[in-house]
Formats: sequence, C-alpha cells, structure tokens
Amino acid sequence: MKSLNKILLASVSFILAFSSCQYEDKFDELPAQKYDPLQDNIEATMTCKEMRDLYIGNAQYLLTENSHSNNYAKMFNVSAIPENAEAIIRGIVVSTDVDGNTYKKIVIRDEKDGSGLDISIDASGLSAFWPQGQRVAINAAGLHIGDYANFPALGYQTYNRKRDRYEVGRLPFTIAKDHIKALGLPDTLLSQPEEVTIDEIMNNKEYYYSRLVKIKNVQFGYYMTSSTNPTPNHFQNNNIKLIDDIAQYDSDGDLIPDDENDDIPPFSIENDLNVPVSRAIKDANGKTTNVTTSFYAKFAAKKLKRGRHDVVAIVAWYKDKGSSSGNIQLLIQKFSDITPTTVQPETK
Amino acid sequence: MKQNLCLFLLMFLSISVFGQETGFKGIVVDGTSGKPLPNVHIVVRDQNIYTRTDKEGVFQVIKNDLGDFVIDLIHPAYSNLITGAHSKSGEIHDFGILSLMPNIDDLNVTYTYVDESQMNDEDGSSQTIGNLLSSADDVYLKAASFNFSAMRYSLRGYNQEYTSTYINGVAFNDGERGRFNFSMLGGMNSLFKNKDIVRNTEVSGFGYGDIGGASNIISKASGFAKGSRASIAATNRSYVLRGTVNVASGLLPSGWAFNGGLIYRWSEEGAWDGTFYNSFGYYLGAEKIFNENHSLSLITFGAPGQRGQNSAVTQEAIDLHGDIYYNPYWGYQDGKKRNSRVVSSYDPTVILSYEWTIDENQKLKAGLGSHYNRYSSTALGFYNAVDPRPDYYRNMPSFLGDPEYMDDITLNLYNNMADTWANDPSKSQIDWDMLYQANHANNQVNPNGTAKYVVEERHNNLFETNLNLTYLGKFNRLKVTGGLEGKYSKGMHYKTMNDLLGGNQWIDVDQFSERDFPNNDNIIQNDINNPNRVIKEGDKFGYNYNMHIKKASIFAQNEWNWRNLDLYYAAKATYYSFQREGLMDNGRSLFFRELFDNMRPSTFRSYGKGKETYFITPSFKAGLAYKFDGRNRISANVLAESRAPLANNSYVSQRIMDRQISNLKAEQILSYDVSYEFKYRRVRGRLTAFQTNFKDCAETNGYYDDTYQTFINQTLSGIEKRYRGVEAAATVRLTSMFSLTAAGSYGEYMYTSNAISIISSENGSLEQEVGAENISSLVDVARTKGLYTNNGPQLVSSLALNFNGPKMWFAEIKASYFDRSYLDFSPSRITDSAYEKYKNAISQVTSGNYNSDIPASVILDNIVALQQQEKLPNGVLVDVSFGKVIYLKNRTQSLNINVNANNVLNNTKMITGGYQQGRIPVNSDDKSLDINNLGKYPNKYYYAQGFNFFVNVGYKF
Repeated sequence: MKSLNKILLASVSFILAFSSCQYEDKFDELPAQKYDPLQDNIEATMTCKEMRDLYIGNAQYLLTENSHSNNYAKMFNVSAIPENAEAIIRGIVVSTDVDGNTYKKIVIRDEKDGSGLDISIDASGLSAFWPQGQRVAINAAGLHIGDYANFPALGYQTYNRKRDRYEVGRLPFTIAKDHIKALGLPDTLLSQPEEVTIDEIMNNKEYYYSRLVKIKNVQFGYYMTSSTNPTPNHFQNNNIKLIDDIAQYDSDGDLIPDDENDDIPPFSIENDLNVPVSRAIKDANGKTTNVTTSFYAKFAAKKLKRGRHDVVAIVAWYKDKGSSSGNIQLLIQKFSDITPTTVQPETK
Repeated sequence: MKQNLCLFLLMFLSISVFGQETGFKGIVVDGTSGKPLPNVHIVVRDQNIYTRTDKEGVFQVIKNDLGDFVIDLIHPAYSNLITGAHSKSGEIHDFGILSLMPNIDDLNVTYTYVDESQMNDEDGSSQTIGNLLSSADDVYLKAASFNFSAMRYSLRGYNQEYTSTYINGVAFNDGERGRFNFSMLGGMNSLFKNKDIVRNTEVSGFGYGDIGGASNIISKASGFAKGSRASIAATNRSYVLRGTVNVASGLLPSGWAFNGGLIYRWSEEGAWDGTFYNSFGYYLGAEKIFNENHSLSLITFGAPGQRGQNSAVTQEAIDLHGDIYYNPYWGYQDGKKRNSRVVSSYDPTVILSYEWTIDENQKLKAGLGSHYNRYSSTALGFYNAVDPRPDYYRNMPSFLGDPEYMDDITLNLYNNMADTWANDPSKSQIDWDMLYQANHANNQVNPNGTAKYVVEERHNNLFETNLNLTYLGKFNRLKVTGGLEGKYSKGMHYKTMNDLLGGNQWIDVDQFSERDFPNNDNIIQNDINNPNRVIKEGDKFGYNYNMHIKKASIFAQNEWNWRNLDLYYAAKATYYSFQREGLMDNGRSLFFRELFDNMRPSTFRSYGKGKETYFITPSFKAGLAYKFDGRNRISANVLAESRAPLANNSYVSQRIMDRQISNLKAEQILSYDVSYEFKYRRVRGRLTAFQTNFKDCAETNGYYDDTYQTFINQTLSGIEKRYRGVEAAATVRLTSMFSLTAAGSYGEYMYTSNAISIISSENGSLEQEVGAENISSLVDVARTKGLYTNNGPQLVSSLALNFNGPKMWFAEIKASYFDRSYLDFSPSRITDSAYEKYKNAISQVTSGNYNSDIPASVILDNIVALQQQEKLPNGVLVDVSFGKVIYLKNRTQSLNINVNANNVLNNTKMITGGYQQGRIPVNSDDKSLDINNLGKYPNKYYYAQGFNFFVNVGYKF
C-alpha cells in the first residue's frame, strides 16, 4: 500500500509538472510601445537639409570622389559622417515599400523643417518596422552620405564594379537597426503629403527632394520616340502622348475597355536595361514631369489611367552622368495614392 | 540356451529402448531472492531447440543426439546465463538450480537530436528468443547501437525506412514516410528494451525482415519481474532531469499480469541555446495467460511532449558566437528566452496481441495495433516584412564578401557587423520585441490587413491501424514462417495560426505569388473557395490535405536446419497504394490547370481526391550457413526486391496539388552479404562483407532559385545507388572481470549514376515563362554520380575495455573513431545548367576577363567548392561509464548507480549532419555566377555535443 501511495504521488507530480510547464502559457502578448512625449529625450542636432548641406560634397568629410574622367562617376560621391559627430536627425517616414515601388530604402521628412532624406537599407519589407507615419530618430554618426546619381542618400559606401565607381550603397539591416530608432506607433496623419504644382517642383527641385507631395489634376501620358515610330519609349522625350487622346473605339465603333486596349501602356514594363520606367503626367497648366515605376511594383502591370487624377508621390531626381540633363522622378508609393480629381478643369 | 540368450538380449534392448531417455533439465531462480523464475527462455544453440520454464521455474528437454551442447537462459529482466554440458545417451543431465541475476538498467540513452527525423531515445540492448542464429549477443550490433549513435551512424548507411520495427509482432513503420517513430516510446527504455533483433536480411521469426534488419520489441506484462522500480537521472543533453516509475505484478497465479510505467523528462534549457524539453510518458500493460496455449496481451502507451528545436548553422555563425551551441531559433521576449520552433508531439498507441500455441511445433500470433500521431512544429511566418531570421545571409558579415580582399571602408563595415552580431542578442537571436511592435504598428496603418509577423504551426498527423498475423511451424528439420500484414494510414497535413504576435489577423494568401502575379487574385489564394479568408489564432490556413495509404503484404519463409548446414528462402508480395485528398482548392493549381489545359485535370487537381496510385511488388530472399562446428560458421544471404515509392516522396508539391513525379517507378533493390562468425569461450566475433544496389530511386528537393527568382520544387529520378562495405567485431574475455571489444565498419555508400532533374516553380511563374509547349526545357541532368550518401559516418571503429567486478561493480572506457562522413549535397548545384554557369565563370577568370580584387586562383577554388560535396571532419570520441548495484534489506531491494560520461575529451569539432544550401550566388542583372561573392550561401551544419553525462540512480523495491 505504501508503495502504491508512493507511485500515485509520483504520477501526480509528473502530471502536474508537465501540465504547468506548457510552453504557450509562458509568453504573454507584449503591449504596444506607444509614443510618450514625456519619455522622448532624443534631440535632433540638425535637420535633414542641414545634414545634406554639411556633409555632401564637403571636402572635409569627402571619403570618395569618383574620377571626373568617368562620365558616370561624376554624379556619385560619398562623405563619411564622423563617428563622434553629433548627427541626429528626427523625422516621419513618408515612404512605404508595400506596393514595391520603393525598394530597400526609407524616406523621411524632417520634423522641424520638412526637408527629406533617403536612407538606403539592404532589406525588403522595411515598412514592417518603419511604415508611413512612423516617427524615427536617426543617429547618422559613423554612416556615409552622398549623391547617388546626383541625388542625396544616407547609407554606406560600396564599390559598383560594373560602373567602376564608389557610391552610397545600402546599409546592412543589422547596422541600420542600431542607428534608426522608432518612437511609438505610426500615425498616418503625420505623413500627409504637401500640395504642390509641377512648376513649383521644377523651379525648386532640391527643396522638394525626398518630400511626399500631392499634385492635383493631372493626366497621364507616355513618350513617343518620333511621330513615325509610335512605340512607347521608356525615357523622357518632348513628344508626349496623353492617355486620354488614345482612341478608345474599335473599328466597329465599340468602346474598347482600357484593360483590353493594347495602345494604353502599363505603368512599367520589363526591359533589358533593368531600369524603372518613366511615364508622363501633365497638369492643368500644361506642365509635365514623370512618374517612375519599377517593374517589380505591384501595380506595374496596371494600365495608365484615363481622366484627371490627383497623384501622391515622393520626389526624386536622377542624373547618373554629366552629359545627361537629369530627370525628376515621382515615385508613387501606393496605387491607392492615385485618386480621381474631384474638381474638373475649366479648360484642357 | 541360445534361445534364452536371445530372449534376454531382446528384453535388455527393449528395456534400453523404452526405459532410458536423453536430455536435460533444471530449475531457474532469481539470483537475489532465490524465487523460481517462470517464462525464462531456454535456447539450445545451433540446434533449433527452445523451451520455457514453467511456473515453478522448471524446464526439461528430451532429445537424443544432443552431443556437446550449449544453452542460453534468457529473461528480459535478468542478465543472460550461458551454460552447457555433454549429453550422454540414456541420461537426463540435471543442471540443478541455475541463478539469474537481475539486469542492471541500461542507461546508454542514445543521443537525442531535437530534429524529428533523428529522434531516437531507445537503448540498443538486444536479445533473441528462438532465433537460430543467436544474434542476441552480436558483437557488432551492440557496438553499433551504443558506441556510434552520437554521430548518427546508420547501419550500412541505409535510410531508416529500410529497417522494420515491430512492437509485439505488429509492424510500426508508418505508411507515409516508411519510418518508425522512436519518440512514441517516450524514452521508457526499460519497458521496451526486450527485442528480437534480426541482422539485415537474415532469417526472421516475426516478419519478412528488411535489408536494414528488423527488430520486434516485446513488451508484455508477463515479461516484467514483479516489483517496483523508480529512478531519477541528471544529465546535460536535450533534457536535464528524468524521473521514472515502473510497477509490475509479475505473472500472478490467476494467469494475469499487469504492469505500468511513468516517465517525466524536463529541461528549462538543453545543451543547445534556447532549446527546452518537457515530456511526460505513460504505459499500461495487461496480459492474460489462459493456459499453455493461449495468451492475450494489451498495452497502451503515449508520451505527450514539447521541445524547442535547434537549427543547422553556418560555420561563420558558430565562429562569431564562440561555440557550437549557437541556435538562431530563439530570442528574448520581455527578458525570457522564447523558441520559435517548438515541436509538440503525442502518439498514443494501443496494441492487442494474441498468441496461440497450437501444439509444441506450431504457433499462431495475431496483433492489432493502432496509433494516432499528433505532431506539429511551429515556425515564424512573415508578410511584406524584413526576414526575421537572425542568421539570414544578409545579416551576416560574409554577405559583404571575403574580408581578405576588401577595401578598408568595407572592412570597417564588415567588422562592425561582426561585432554587433556577436555581442548583441537582438541581432544574433530573434528580436521578438521588435516583431510585436511591427504588428502593433501595422494594426495602426492597416488594421484590416495581414499581420507582419506570426508564429504558424505546421501539423503532420498520422492515424494508422496495423494488423499482423504470423504463423510459425516446426516440422523436423523444416521451420515454416508465414504472415499477413495489413495497414491503413491517414496522414493529415495542415497549418494553423499559433500566435498572431499582437497582430489583428492574417489574410490567407500566398505572398510570393502576390509578388510574381500582382494582378491575379486567384493565383494568390490558398483556398479559392474561401478567398482572402481572415485567419485568427487556431484557424487552419495555407494548405490542408490528407494522404490515404493502404498497404497489405503476404510472406512465406522456409528454414532448413541440418547438423552442419542451414538454408532458408522466403518470398513476399506487397500491395501499396496512396491517394491525396485536398481539402483546399489552391490558386496555383488552378493556374497550372489553365496553363496546361490539354492535360488531364486530375494532374493538377488541388481539391478533392486525386489519383490513386498503387504498386504490387515482389521480394525474394535466401541464405545459406555452413557450421564447421559449434564455434565457427560462415553464411551468405541475398535479397532481390521491388519496392514501391513512398507517398511522401512521390509528389512534386503535395501541399498544393495532386501532381506526382513523372514516371514514378518502384525501386529495385539487390542486396547480398557474406559473414564469418566465431564463438569460443574467451573470444567471439564476426566479419561481414556486404553490398546493396538500388535502382530507380527518386528524391525531392525544394529551394529558392536566384536565376528564376522563385521557389522551385526539384525532383530527381532514375537514381542509382550502391552501398558496400565490411563490418568486423570481436570481443575477448581477458580475465573473469575484464573484456575487450573492438568493432568497426568501412563503407562506401554512394550514387552510381547521374539522375534526371525536373524543376517546377511552386507558383507556376517559371512554367508560364517557358510556356506549356516548352516544358521539356525544365528537364536537366543532375550529376549525382560519384557523390556520397549522407547517413552518418561511413567509417566507424571503436575499442572498449569493459570491467565486471565483484560486488556488482562495473565500468567501461571506450574510444571511437569516425571518418568518411559527407554533407547532404544540393542537387541544384550539380545540374548541367549550374555547370554551364561554372564553366562560363571559369572561362572568364582563366582568360583574365573578369573584374575582381580576389586572385584568380582563389576564385577558381571557390567555384570548385560551390559544386563540391563537403567531406566532414574525422575524429575521436572517448566515453567512460561506471556503476554499482547495492543490495538492501536482505537483497529484497536494490539501488543501482550508473554514471555515463560521453565525449570526455570535449571534442567539439565533430559534425553529425547538415546540408549544402540550394541557392547559387548569381549577379542580379545577367544571372551569371557572382564571382565576387561565391561564399554567399555557405553550408550549414549540426555538431555533436561536447562533453555530456548521464547519471542515474535506480531503486528497486
């Protein structure tokens, strides 16, 4: 009987021990870390614009200036922000990589003066940690900043073997994690675009670099190489054909749905150069610029839209060689950022 | 006078013939208590004679012409006794009282890997009952079980599905993967230690057998000595504490016997960082021996448990971490270690077995066994988010290239990465806090969208019922064995949401299809019948299918035994069928159906029952043994068979559709071996040479292909393999207390032909690109010829000195050497297409037409390394064990203390397995070989644990 009691005791002990140690019971859901201004003691030491102006092209910090004999290299330079520098910027993330047009970077708008800066990071899905509307503080000490195709970016120097040039390359994610701190939860109210016209952008490009803007009342178009060769071209050409002008009726006079109209190009197409594709937008004042879309964007295959739309995009600039005139590139972040204009223009 | 003399002589002869018997007898008792021992098996070596002691421990055999004979006395709870005599005609030799000493618990728990395919918690002691070859004390098999398990040695290199395992005569290799689930035994070693073991293709008394051998675990209530046992053990392996309790009634006068057992194994953290163990096991057995002819046994057991896994890792990760125990599967959550790969398993089993001794020469055994294996493993999932794996190749400093050839700036970054990874657990381990915050952030910006990070749970359940009937008959020199086997298996495979990590929900679509087909709402659905389904915790999602398997076989075997010659031959026929039943209609399968609209719809069917495929395959085996005398024997065995491909290996992508490997065939196997065995008073051993050829084998492989930028399923068919080698072992009794055992095997297990490789993209993007009419372009050659299999070391050897001293002291020291281990190669690296890339790169480099700071010779070496199968390090492991049995209370109770210290030299350089990654480093623009970063996807390894121990104290009362 004594033995039986001992065995029963052992059995109960085993069962209790096993039951009490179930793994899923050990981990509670972690609460969200909300933003508390009283707990926020990170002070910015400069704005994004100040950082760009201080370090880019400044001989004191220049790490690499590519040879001017290399036509491509002139537009690329890298400066090193010293490791002991007081180089803290604060901003709101205005980019998102969910729709795939922004890739391996985040773009922030400075909290103080609204200036923007691209930060190149070698990882996809960055919007998981730094989505649109996320407040961040970035300590850039020890990192590199410079012009990439004549456009500022924060990252780390890399050597582009194919082009024989040093560039601002992507930060490894593990390093980026150390330098970028998310403060609280995102608030999309903080990442609303500023309304601008194409003219304003073209007349003050550098001001609008990396800013999230809204251009209202535009029509989409694409480029013709020449009137005798109507195949859409990737690149900007003064000869623009608007989508609204493309015939939309077949030979029987029936309306051809946009999706079946081969004359309407998609936002982007795969190409041998493996570059994003630019399409025109023209506003009510007749001014034109480009929206630029990667072939890997989720909306790349969608047809350019008819009618007038408001477009929200991040302003970028691309000039990779001295002989090129360079292009403004408006990077649409989400396809839902293209919305029909509510106000119809009086004139075309 | 003469007549009277003749009459007298006749009478004398008559008396001699009718009044004088020849044979032997005796009584067997417990050596500690002196009580008679029933059910002790008595085997006359080499003479096909066996019997059992009765309730009074008495045995008797009447037999003429015994000559010099040796008998083995065998009982599962006691150590074997060997004795012998010379039989005189007309005399019954009386052995008197023979004492058996209680068994010391075998505590050589074989090394447990937390990977489910290696889970092996059984001990390897072996006993045979009625096996005429007496492989009960096969020196090599014992060494293979105990000495080589730390390096995951496989007998003759065969995969586990080529070894048959039975429990009480019921076959338990599962129908889907062909394997025996060792973890179902729950580590209750003492309840499952009694086994009939059949060496490779030799003759079997409980089934047809297999090329890898067979074992029948005999676990019946009557086989356990009356009494109770409790033990507690401390160790530093996958668990740190173990407690067991076993109780047995012994065989009661009523003919009933009962026994039960409990076990608990636990660790907060095992040998590998972040692993844990929590497992409970139970066992209940009842047996009724109606009379000498009928007995019925029922056992049920199960072991629900959870454990945290560890992963194969790169050498770089180990070097940065500082030791071999790095495990990327865990991270801190709120200061506590949390493992992302938790295995939960529970395989409750019930076995009913009936034995009918028809007469002294015939037996019929029937067994019905059923089990329901609930097995699941969790894993991190993510959607449109940064890969959360801390050892993801982009997070490692090697992603930047080879530091030896870097400029200073990049080298500085490399060192920063190395430093931060090595010293910051939020980099080298999962950052759970950040994953939760990502989901909370997503809830703000996208409240109806998919969570960014989740923990999913992958279920692979199996319900199985087995029926076995075995007939054994002895007719003079002929022993007949025959049997029927039936098996029905239902595999159930699906995913559930384990933890949303603070996210609101998960939407059930495939993100990789979404990326490749952004405008196709159908293809991205995991279930077209429930598009964009909202998934909460506990819901099934992703995939859901069953696999129905039926197996039936019939076999017959004849054994002939003469004085100097044994002969056997046997045949078997097997029916094996499998059929997939999809419970979700996967969008990718619809895409395939539309793409290949001229194919039969069932080829790409996802929902509903698919094609039922069946095979009927024969097997034949035979063997001959010549016994020079009672001590020397030479034998040869041969087996030729066809074997159906297992359900698990027959589909291209069974998670999403019914598509089978094209040209599915049965494997062809031809196996033969020759052995010489000797058994003298002081020395015994064996030498064997063997060869097995496989033909028409198939394998499947999945990996992300950088050239096609999509997930690829690769099937290899037309595989031919050859396993050949020698095994040798000998044990020498130096003195009454010391013995020396040497054992070893040299094997060459390799692929002997190239294979046909067919690739298929999981989401159809590749097929769409090439077009249905050009699908043959996806066929390639995989250059497998000359590569080695990866089932453990192909050269093993050990030398052990064993001490069995007075007053129940025992000790052993042994050294084992391992070599010829090869890493699992990736077929994607050895296709003709891959070689085209290597060739182009080599040509570029040798002609000087390349752009790199790395010297040409280094690049060329790296290209070779990319395609090579890695040979793993060789080395020595030294183990020491000792113990003592202490008798208490007038020998009615005992305490046994057992200490095992393994790898006492703490050799942490031994790799037990791992794999070569499937990805090939290519340039993103033209997909040529990226010669500047050929080490981007290095091999991954599992290491053998360093010093480890097992201390057990057992109490018998």
